Amino acid sequence: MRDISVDRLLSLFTSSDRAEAIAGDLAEEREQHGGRWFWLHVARVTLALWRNAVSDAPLVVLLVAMAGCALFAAPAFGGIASVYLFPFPSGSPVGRVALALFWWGGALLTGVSLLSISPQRGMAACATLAVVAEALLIGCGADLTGLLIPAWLLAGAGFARRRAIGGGIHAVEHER
Amino acid sequence: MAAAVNLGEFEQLILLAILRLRDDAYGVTIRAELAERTGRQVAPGAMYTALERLESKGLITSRMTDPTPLRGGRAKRQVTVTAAGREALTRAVQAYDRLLDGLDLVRGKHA
Repeated sequence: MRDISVDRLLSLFTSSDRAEAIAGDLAEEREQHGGRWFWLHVARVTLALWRNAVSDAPLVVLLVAMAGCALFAAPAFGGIASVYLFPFPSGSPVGRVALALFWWGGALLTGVSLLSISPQRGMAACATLAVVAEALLIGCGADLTGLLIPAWLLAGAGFARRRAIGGGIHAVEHER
Repeated sequence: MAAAVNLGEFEQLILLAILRLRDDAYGVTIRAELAERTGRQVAPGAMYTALERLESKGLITSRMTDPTPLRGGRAKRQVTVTAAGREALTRAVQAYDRLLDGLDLVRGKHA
């Protein structure tokens, strides 16, 4: 049975027919090399395609990532304001939920927006932004609410990417 | 007139492997051909990004085949070298020939 999760993962950074062909090649060699080899190379090919997407147009990726920072600024400060301006008890569940709604929702919408701004490089920009953000958040000792922001950013971008491919957007399907 | 495309060593190897494989050139067979003829175990990621680069330069073209059960119901992406690809490869080989002229590296005179 065809496992489409690999095709979906690879199609985040390349066209869906290329993703299908690469997944098929790896599946064909799986019997010879084993499952561990297969999944290791699924990860390595995904990283290679991401790196290729960034190195092909680094300035575009940088600009899209900067646009992502600007878009996320409003919900980020909105979340902080909601906690500090309203009289929630410190560390209360209501305050945490409000913060999570602003930050996670903002990250989700930022991911979707970046794919709309740049269907070709948006996913690479989101992945780069997510990795840098996660490193900074870990470095700053952020709690779980903060640490999950990059995951929501990627989820939004991944959702928009899938929707674009499903909708047959020409620019996405025929991108390099 | 379009500027001549310069090929890296890896790109030359891939183009040569595709030419050797004729109508059966796709990811798995290209990697196998490179391993057999050059002794290099090419990482799939490096090869697929090189293939994308070659296609974007117009040096190869590709087409999807029918899905096969061996591949989990997925199609192959068969690639062929274009006229521009052959031309770029010929130029690269001619440059090697000119540089090798007078040297005998294989027999070790200048090794």
